Amino acid sequence: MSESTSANTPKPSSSVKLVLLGEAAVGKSSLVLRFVNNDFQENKEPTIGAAFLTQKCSLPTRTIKFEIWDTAGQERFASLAPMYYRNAQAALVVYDVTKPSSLTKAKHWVAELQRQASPGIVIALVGNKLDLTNDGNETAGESAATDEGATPAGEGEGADGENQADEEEEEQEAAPGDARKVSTQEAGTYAEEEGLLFFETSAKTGVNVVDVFTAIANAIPESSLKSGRGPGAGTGQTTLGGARPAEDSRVNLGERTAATAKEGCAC
Amino acid sequence: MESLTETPWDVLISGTGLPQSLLALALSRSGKNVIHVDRNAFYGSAEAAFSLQEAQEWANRVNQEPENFPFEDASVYSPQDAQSLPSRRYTLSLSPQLIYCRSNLLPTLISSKVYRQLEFQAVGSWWIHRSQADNSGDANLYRVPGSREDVFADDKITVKSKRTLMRFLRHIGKTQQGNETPLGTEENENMATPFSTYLESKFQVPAELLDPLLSLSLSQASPQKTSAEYAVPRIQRHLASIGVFGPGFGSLLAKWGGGSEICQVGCRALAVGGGIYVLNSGVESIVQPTQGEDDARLKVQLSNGETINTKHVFGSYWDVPTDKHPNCNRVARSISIVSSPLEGLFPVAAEGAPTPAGAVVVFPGSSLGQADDAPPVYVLVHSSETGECPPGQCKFTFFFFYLVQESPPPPSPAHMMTTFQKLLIYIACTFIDEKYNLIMSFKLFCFKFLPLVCRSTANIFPGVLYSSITTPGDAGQSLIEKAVNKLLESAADPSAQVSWSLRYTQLGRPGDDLASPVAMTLDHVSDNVVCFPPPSLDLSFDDTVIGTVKDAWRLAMGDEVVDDEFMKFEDREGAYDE
Repeated sequence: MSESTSANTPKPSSSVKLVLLGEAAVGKSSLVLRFVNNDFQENKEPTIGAAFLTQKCSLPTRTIKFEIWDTAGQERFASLAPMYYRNAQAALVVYDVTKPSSLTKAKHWVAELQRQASPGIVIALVGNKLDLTNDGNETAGESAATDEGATPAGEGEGADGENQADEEEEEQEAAPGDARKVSTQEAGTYAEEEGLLFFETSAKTGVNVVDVFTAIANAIPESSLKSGRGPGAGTGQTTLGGARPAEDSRVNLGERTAATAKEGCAC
Repeated sequence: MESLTETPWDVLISGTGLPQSLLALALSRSGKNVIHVDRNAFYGSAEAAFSLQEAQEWANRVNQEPENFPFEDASVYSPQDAQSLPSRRYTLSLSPQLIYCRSNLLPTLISSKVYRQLEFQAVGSWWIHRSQADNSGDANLYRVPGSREDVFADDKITVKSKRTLMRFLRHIGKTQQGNETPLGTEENENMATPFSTYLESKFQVPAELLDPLLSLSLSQASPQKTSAEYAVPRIQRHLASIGVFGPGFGSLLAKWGGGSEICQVGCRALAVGGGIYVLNSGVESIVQPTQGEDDARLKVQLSNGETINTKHVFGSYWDVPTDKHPNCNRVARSISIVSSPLEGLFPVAAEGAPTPAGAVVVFPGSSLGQADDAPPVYVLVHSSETGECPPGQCKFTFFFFYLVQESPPPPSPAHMMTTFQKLLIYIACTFIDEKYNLIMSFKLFCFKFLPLVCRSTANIFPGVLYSSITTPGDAGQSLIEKAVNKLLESAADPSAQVSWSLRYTQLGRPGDDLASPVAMTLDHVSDNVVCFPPPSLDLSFDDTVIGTVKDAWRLAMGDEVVDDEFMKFEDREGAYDE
């Protein structure tokens, strides 16, 4: 997985709250499960057993610890309140490439985030279930190849630079025919207009999954990492070097021995 | 979408306040069919947290439909053009209660494993405001020695007073540890007397130390009405909580909006466990089943038109249709955003201690020109570290620079410009767009006045004050205003002011030192319809909530209840990687 073996000097590490959004059954939880456990379960029950997972993503200069919040199925009766995403630094808005209505719903979520979430939130639009399309069958599961180096290709320029992922060869199971109903171009154009990161993924085969998270990690402005969550946090004082590290005020209930989180003090 | 009507529900929870959300957490692995509804579009009920915009909408609704809220007379006051405040950058909490490290809430959050989704921060110092009668030149704010170490270090207390104070602290420390002689059993220890009398007669503690000691009890009643019975255990709790989770602090606040975060997490836990959530839908009416039917269920009409068949209904008096209305006390409260970091209030109290994000400032009645026997104003000060307001930075339409000196104070525009013209300076420029995205940041030296104009459109808004007094209505609000102004005067920054505030009256269960307390137990308003007691008005988390939630959980579990399993869960598979 993206957990690179940084046996040498510890890199600065920061926590990033990432929320999942999207219509029911588009594969939100499966994406996370693939990312966190490199696992996929066919015919998954709606809402997986965990609404909160963590996974580290190692970049060349820093380590990002994603705190991933799943919707826990609360989207079903329009019961995801703004509190869910208000202090998130990143959002994964997922739709199903075989279901046009799910893209419409995704667009609603993007609008909602732009209206309600922290200004400066990094939003990635993700079309999932690529394995059900012809593209999916030709596309490489290149996630495994790139995770180590995590070249910051998308940094600073949003959706560009990601399409390079799509054209590699790898073994795949037999093609079940193309069920695609949402073209890459349609969603890509929309993402570009709104300034979103954009990927098509398959949680089932793993295609592009790690790439999504790596791109998000790269797109989070460094300034918002230094003093904890919230875009823009610490842009003022932190650049002056006068601010304290983010985790400095955090009280750890789990380990009573350490008063502050050791991990966070690296920055 | 699945039909809510056809499902045979075991439990309907109405309202997403703290007790209901903790019940949701308790039932999250029960296997019961639980539906959780709230009339509001937000989670948290009386413990919700709002952006400025939402706070305004909430205030309007409180005034329009007072029967639906344990609040009254809400109003938003914004002396400046509030449009310039970034509404969404605020998360103002209706429940800023501090949580003592010995509170039984914390073991509950830990054993149920949800604490990992929460972030806690330390509440550091307690301060007392004193009117400047003695011309000593001392600051008006006096830091209350909150631990034995503090007493030793304090240079304001005379040696003689220190001795009496230590005697008192030792006494209550002893009874709390050994328990061999519970308080009140010793001779001449009459716990029903006012705390002031108790201190004076038994320990000869000088009068000047009364207010500081009272403040540690968080008693909102006037000194004369605060009994030793009430104050002493609460001071014990304060002392015993210090050091539990690290040095230098004894109480916590939940980051990102206090109680509302805990509500969120409880509700999410139930949702993960299969519970169904419906916002924007209140309970309109409940019809009891006809007698004799097997497996009979209550018929609950929701405001969204659906009918729910359920065995149990739990809610607050404001979420369940009932004629019974509890006898509530009223207190005046306000939430103020202030344009000063008040950073002097957050010293790190001990080596290795976390930076406090909260502080408590107490204004005894006398310091506000009231009689000695008037109730105090409590102000809980939250820094921007709490995530409730934007960090202490300036917002500029186009760009801005900070002066960098040896140890830079957070710059205020007025202060800056004067220094700016005088000095050979080292400038850090930070370019921020109107959405607070950092465009670029660099540092440079320059020798003289730079003919650049700072175009400030907003000030620094780095502090949130949560104030409370037991005197409801305008009288209470004007005392709060006075206290807030005095607090700002004490800040070194002369430009400090209130940028925005929300004022309201809150209804709830009084602390047990106040007259006519409402029972703290569940109220069976009709068969299988149960109301939680009204919210506590205490300034610290009310531990009795856990007990009532457990009672409710027992009712919901029925025969399957295993008492030891309350709130004890394993981590969900794959949920945590460390």
